[in-house]
Amino acid sequence: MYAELYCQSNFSFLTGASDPEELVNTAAFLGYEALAITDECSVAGVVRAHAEIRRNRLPLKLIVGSRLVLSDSLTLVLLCPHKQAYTELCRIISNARRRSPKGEYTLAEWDLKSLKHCLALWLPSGKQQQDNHWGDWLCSNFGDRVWIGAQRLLDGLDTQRFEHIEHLQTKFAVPVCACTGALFHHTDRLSVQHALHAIREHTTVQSLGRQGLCNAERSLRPLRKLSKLYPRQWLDETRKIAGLCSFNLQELKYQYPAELVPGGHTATSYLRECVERGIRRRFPGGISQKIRTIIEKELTLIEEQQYEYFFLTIHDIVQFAQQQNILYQGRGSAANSVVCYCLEITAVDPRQINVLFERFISKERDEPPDIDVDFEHQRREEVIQYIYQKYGRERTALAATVICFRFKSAFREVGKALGFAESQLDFVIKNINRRDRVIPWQQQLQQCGLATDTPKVQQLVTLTEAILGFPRHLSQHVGGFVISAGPLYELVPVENAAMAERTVIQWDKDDLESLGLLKVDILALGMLTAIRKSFALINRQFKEEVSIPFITGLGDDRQVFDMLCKADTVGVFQIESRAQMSMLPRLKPRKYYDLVVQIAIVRPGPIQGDMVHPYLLRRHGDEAISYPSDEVKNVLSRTMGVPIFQEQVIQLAMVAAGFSGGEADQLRRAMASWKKNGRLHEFQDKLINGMLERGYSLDFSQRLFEQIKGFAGYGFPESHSASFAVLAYVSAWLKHYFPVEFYVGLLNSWPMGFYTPSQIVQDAQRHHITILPVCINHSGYDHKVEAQGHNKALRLGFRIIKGLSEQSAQEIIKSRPTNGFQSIDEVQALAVDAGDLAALASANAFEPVAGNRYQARWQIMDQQRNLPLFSNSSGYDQQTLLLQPNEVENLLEDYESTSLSVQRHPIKLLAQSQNLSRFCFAEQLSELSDKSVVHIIGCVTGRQSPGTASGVTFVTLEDHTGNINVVVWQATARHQQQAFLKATLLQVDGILERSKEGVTHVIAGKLTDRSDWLNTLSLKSRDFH
Amino acid sequence: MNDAEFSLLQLPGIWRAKEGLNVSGCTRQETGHRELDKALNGGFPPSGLVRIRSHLGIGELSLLQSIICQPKSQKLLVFVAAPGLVQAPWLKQLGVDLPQVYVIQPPNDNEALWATEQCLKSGACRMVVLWQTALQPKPARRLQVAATHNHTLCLLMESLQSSRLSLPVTLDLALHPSEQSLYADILKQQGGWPRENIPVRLQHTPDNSAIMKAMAAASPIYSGSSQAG
Amino acid sequence: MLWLYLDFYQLTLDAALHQPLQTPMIVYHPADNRIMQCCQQAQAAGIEVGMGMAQAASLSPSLKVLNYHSDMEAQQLSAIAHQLYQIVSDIVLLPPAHLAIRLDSHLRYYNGLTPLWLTLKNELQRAGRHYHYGSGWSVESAKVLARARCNRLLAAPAAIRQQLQNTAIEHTDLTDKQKQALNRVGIRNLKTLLNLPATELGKRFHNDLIRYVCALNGSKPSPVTFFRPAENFHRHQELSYEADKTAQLIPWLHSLLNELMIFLRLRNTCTAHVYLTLHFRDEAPLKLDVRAATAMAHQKEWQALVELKIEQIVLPAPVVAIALASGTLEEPNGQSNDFFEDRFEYFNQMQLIGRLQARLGAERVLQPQEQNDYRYEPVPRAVANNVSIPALPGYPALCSPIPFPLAQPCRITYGPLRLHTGWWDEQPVCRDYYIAVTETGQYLQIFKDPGQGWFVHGWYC
Repeated sequence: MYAELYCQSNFSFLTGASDPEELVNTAAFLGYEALAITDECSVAGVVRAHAEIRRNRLPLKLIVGSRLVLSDSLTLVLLCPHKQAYTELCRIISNARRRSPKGEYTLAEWDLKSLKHCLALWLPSGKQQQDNHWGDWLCSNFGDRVWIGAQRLLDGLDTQRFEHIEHLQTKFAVPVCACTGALFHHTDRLSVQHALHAIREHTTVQSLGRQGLCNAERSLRPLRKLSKLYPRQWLDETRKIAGLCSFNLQELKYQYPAELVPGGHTATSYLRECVERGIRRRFPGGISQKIRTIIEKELTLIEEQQYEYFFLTIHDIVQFAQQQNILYQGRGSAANSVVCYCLEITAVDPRQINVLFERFISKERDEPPDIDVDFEHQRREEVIQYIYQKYGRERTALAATVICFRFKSAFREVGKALGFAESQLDFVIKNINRRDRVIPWQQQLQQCGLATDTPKVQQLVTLTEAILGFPRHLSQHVGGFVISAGPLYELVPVENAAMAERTVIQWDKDDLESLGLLKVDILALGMLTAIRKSFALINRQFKEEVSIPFITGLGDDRQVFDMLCKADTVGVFQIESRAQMSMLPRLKPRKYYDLVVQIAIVRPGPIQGDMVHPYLLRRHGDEAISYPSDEVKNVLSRTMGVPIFQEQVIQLAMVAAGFSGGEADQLRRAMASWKKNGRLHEFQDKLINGMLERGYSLDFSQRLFEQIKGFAGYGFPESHSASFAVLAYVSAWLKHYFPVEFYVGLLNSWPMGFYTPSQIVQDAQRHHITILPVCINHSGYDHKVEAQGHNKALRLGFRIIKGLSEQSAQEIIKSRPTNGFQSIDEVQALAVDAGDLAALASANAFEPVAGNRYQARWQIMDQQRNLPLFSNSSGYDQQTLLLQPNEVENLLEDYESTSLSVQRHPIKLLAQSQNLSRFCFAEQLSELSDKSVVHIIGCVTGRQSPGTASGVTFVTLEDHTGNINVVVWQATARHQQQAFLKATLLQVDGILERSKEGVTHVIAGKLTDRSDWLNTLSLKSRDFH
Repeated sequence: MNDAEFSLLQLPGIWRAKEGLNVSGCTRQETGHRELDKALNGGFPPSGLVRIRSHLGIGELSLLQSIICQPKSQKLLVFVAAPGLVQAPWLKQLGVDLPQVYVIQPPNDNEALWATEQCLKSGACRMVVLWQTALQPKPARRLQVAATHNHTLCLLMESLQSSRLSLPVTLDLALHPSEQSLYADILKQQGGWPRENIPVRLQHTPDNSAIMKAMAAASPIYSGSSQAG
Repeated sequence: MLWLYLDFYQLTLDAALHQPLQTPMIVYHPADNRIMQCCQQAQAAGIEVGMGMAQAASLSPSLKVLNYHSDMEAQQLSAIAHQLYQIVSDIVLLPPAHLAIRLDSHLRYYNGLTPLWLTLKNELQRAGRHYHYGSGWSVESAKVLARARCNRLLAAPAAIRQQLQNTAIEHTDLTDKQKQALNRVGIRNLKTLLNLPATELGKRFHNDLIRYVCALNGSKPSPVTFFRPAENFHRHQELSYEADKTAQLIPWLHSLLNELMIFLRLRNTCTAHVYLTLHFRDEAPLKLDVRAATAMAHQKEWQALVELKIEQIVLPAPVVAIALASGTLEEPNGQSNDFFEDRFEYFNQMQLIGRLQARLGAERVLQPQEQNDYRYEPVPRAVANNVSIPALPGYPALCSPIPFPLAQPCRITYGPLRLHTGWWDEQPVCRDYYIAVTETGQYLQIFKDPGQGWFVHGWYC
């Protein structure tokens, strides 16, 4: 029997060539007693190995360790016999990582000296003199906790190694143990390891030459072979060492930050007090008995699961946000509860959405509570710094996300390693359609000019497939915070993230979940910024305080829902995309819960499981609502028997297919995170047989599994959809009742959402809101509402001008005289650099004080005026330049400087120069009958080919009256490739198609490229996302 | 009696064989193997044609490591008509400076002789190693004259299979291995007597001894190294 | 002054287009991923100069791509210059693909502009060169009109000025920044730019723009350097009688090499490369190139080398004429006539190697190279030998080019050394190497291929 004590997974980035899961499975298969996962100054891979052993109940002991290099003459493999040793290891890994930039580490001799419990495997460097020095050093510092690691790699150096080891053994009386330094679990992963090594050295596999491995011996080898290679004594030594190690990751317990609970209180008593305080504030009129019993039920559940600290932590963060007037919103399964509403974590009155209660925390599923809190995306950093400052950099850090090789990076890096030309690789990547489900990417290589029968290209394909999904580097999770009582590095090593001032733990959110450790998600949401800015503008005019609870309190407003049914939703949260706009008239939402469904239904899950059509039929009463069985009835009653949400699918799996709680959890994990979807197919037959046994139709179960596959990667839980529905409703309400404030809020929080400022401004103009251009005397830095007669207009701010720094803009605003600047000289006299002045001139901001923009810019270019010698020469000979920009030039300058124009739309300009009588425009489409031939023209503002639509591309044409959705089949696109790909101004002759709910599309027949009519209109279209 | 002898020495006509050794004025090149150097009166001759008869691959070149690599000299080292490709890493391990080495693969024996003669006559080489079987005395004579006249050492490696012809060489050696070490027979040398069975200790290839020792020490039951062939 | 400016916009294509072909062909610059030139069929398929490769390929799948090499285009350009040099002497070479020719100095020989222009046009027509052209009173103005593709020969200053005024700014040689600044102020064509007073321009722009505008206006011509053809030694010698044995060529060679020495002596240069061409009555001429290790001039040295070269040549037929041409001429560096001892050494060695290579052929005189690979046999496309990592221990002295099966019983003394590498090229290796000693005491390097048994690969001499 044998224990492998030195083995690196692919979490030693670009070195190891096997997943931790593969390593532990192979080790168990080969009959090893124990396996140590010892990645390069990291324990990132051990949790996955631990989870795999627990899942498959493998007869293998996992030893946690790490390989550390002090200098080119001392390399150690540290192993953790028990928890204190593990804590020490985490500490020195954190110190080593924090001393150097991301991805590197520098070890100090002192670190190793401070180790009192870790066992050390010494890998001698072979240099006589240094090894003698380090031998003494190790014996004095480690005593009996050090072994010499002997490797037999059949690379011709074995004899020297054995001689050297024999000499060291006699000189220092240190026991010797066998080890391999495995980098992969099976010999045919050698080529993958070579490729990774070449990628790390930025060279080709061939020129790696003698730097790379000469054979595949550094893999997990069968016992029979090991006994031939190593002396029996050295093999037995490994079992002795494995015997000393008893540490199990399960022992890691999570201690919560103690300072949250004030003196004299226990966690539960303090939580009850906060809830009582919340009830007084949230329910001024007192609460009904029903709500009180629910609160008691929830509190007892929280006490049993000891999650009090979790809620108190979030409560504390939320209090801070309120004081700083940062808009926030809690979401997630645990968020839909009265306790959260009282703790002011969620803003939705539970009486509105009483249906979601039993989803709170279910004991039998043993799922850790999952609460995400969204903050305004421009002020989230303040919240993060508050957390760091309150708990200290030692006790809090962000969870990690493991950035893996996706197709594009894998194909490109492997191609370069095999010696392919970079321009050829880019060309192939650009021409491969990853979403084409008909021909997989491997066969598409042929059309891109790669001879797929040559061995080199076959190697490229196999290596790319092997490397897909390999971890590439650690990055910071978008918002997951880990907060602990004691220093965090006793729990898990902490390292620097790419961003300054940010630290990341080496485990990702799945690792934390599998160890039952909690994390708090602090996320950013652009719409919250827009809503808060709109609220600020509104509250300045009215005494009534407008806020989210205020709006939700008003109940479902009929006029707002009418607006939604007309799909007039540009700028509304979550339901502004083209797909949503074409779904709204079909679904006709009338109440809040309809919005929850609307948000979740336009997603790959329901679409792939083709659950959309049946839901619509049942909603409009065209199909009777039937349930295959009554257990299914109480799961699907809310969505009329059609599974839409991720939770429903999981509950169905448990109820209809007999999955246990744990299996359901694995199904959820497999769906939620991006894994090789082989993992999902394991559940396929289990689910279908389970459902067939219980009498469900094969068709229903297959459709259910399709839906599950759809959810992979885009799992959209009902709780998140419910919280988003709140914001969608609030933004729709604002757009209906306070349009100007809504648009100003939206534009001031850009970049966010689906549309460009130009499209938002045009939507505002279509709602008869006058847009006032940027002006040197009136504009502030942000856009603002300006009274114009009795109605309100939108004044564009300096922030819209490209190339103008905020600091110069503030300077201009600050030193603007009361009655405004009279001439450009006054502005030039300010300490503003010429580049900013030129940008202002091009945006025509000097229009009130100077002639046209060319005049202004020509004058600004004259540097001599501000030389001291010439400063007194007053006046300026106007007549030297008499150029006057015409309308088209004005339009071009507008787009060039502010990427939008308040003057006329390019198509309107075109109508003068060309006769566009034969074309019909967006607003006139509604008068045409279905299936009539139509000629339309417009600027191409978007090309989209979503994965779910097989081969169809949606092109959005924009003219001065609105947007037209054009459907281009793959054949027409391929046939008229030139016009389809290159046109910015496109004429389409096709057939109008209108569904009975009034959604109009134009099926493209002939595409003609009209870009030459408007030769240099620089309008960028948002393509293919 | 020595006074008669003394007078004989002064006669110009008398020439003693040993004096031929230092007529060329430079010292012998030590091979580093004590008995062999003693038998060769100090080592290899500085120049001239030296024949070495042996099987291929018994260490016949490693034996002359100290002569083959002479770091201070700028002159060339040329290998002519070697039975295989001369390996650069082996030269480097031997200590030879690669840019000074040329390998010539002539199409036939005559071209090999022409090339060797050109190298010797050019005075640009410090040593030429030629592999040739059944070299005739006449061409050997030409090589001997060219080598001595241009102070260059020319090694002729001859296989034991071919029968021995007596050639006008400055030194004629034969090597044959036995169990532990190598034995050299000096068949003919200028200015010295022939000697038989001079032991030469040479270990020119690595072996598995350290591994075997560790394996044996660990468990006596472990059998010897695997047999091959 | 009257200048003609020729812009050869598809030099590489012209060189490749001598035989008519159907498939669309483009010249592609891989460094900045841009199409430089495209032929008629390519333009018909919608491909334009400046497009990216991906877009071009998606527009026409069966595309023939030539790679753009600036030095190849420069060679083509100098070939055209040599050709036109017979007609006009004042040519200015402007790489990569432009020529400026001063016409007014030649009007007297061709008595009139049109005859001169027609001869030039026919010469270029015959050579199959495509170009845009323009004429003006200075090189710069002619260049602007050529880039604006006005393709008309204007002599009268008024006509030139009128043509210049309505050409757009981007055809000029202004920097992009200057062009952008002018566009943003509404100055799109040269008319407004040329009318602006120099003082106003001076206040706003750098003075090299002012100098360029003056050149455009023709007020101050900028200096130009004219083209001079390079010289090379070339002599053709008809033999008085047909020589069927190479020995008979020696005296003729002697005289030719003498002339070569004089030619080189006059220019104080020497050459390392000489081409000897033997012409036969009906056979194709036989071209021999004799390469010396260092540049030499002296007749005696060349004589020895050339004689060595022609000694082994078997003449297919009697030689009627021989021609001798020299390669590129080089300055005589100090070392060729330096008599210090080690310098003599180096020179001596070079001469020996030169002689051996001349007789045996360069491929038989080698220097052993260390390759950065584990495999013992020479590897295809082996990488440069800057190998810092020492080779594995136990390297054999000689290796057999092709491993042969092991015939004699032997005992393993060292190994195994397992090699599992080279999967990326045509010689993958998966072998266990051992050192074994035979009964006759020979140390062999042997290896075991999985499945095919034992082979011998080298000897430990």
